Amino acid sequence: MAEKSVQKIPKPQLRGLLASSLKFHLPAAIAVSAVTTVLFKIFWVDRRRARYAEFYKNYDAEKDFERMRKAGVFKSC
Amino acid sequence: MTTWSCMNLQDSASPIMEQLIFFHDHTMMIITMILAMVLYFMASTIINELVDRYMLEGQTMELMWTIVPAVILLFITTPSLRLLYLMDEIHNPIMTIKTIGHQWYWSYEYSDFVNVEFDSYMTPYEGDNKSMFRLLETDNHVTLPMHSFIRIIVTAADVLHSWTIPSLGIKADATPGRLNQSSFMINRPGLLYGQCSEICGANHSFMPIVIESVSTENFIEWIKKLSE
Repeated sequence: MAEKSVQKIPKPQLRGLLASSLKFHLPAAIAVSAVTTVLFKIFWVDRRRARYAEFYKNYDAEKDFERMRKAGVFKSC
Repeated sequence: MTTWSCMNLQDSASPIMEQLIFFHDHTMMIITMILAMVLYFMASTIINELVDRYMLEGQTMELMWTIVPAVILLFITTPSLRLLYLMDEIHNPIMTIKTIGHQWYWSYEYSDFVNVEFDSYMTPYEGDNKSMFRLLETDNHVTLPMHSFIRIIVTAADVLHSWTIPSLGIKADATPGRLNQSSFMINRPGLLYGQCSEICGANHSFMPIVIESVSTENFIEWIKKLSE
């Protein structure tokens, strides 16, 4: 019989597949989650707080009331 | 009031509602964080080629998915409880008004002043009048001074109702035979709208509430006129 050379492939990983998958995917999931949270905080949460702060910074309630009163909004005055 | 395409909470007219809106934003941020993580894991599960026919348990994973949500809930609970107790604080109200729910209108009593009581019925909608809001206008508005801490006592004369003003963050059930107390401070002038929020019969959708937030001087003038 002719001798044939046999090439052996490396033994595949048979155990701990979830752990080795998680080694990549868990930090990736945490990173995606963190980036989404930070973007939400900057573009939604902080923007709304800034809008409220801006509105009330120089807000003159009496002047606004006079404007509405002259426009006929109120029934009491 | 809510205008078209308004999916969020109404702009606040009181400091408590402002805090409620910020708390809502904080909770939405945490929900977005959880959603991003869950969507990532869903996607990775879909493209995953691993198979384990003999999987029985995963103690470590079960420990993590119990502890991590508990920690997340702590981040939600802490501001929530702070706000809950803040809402119950009462800072020397300058006046108390009573609200009584009827089928199907609200009546108001300003007992701190002499003889000030009135009913508030919904104004029927006139299609060609572009300056009125359908199902929200009333014949008599609840006039209140701005920048003043006000106590409101809510009850009902017949069936359950609920006195609600979204922009103040108030929803108080009107229960016959019971007095429910709430309090608020309005920090800007204008008209604040609300609707009955407890099913009370055929015209439950047709008994709105309108608060007129006016300056203290104008409120005093108005009260004087009504007291005469």
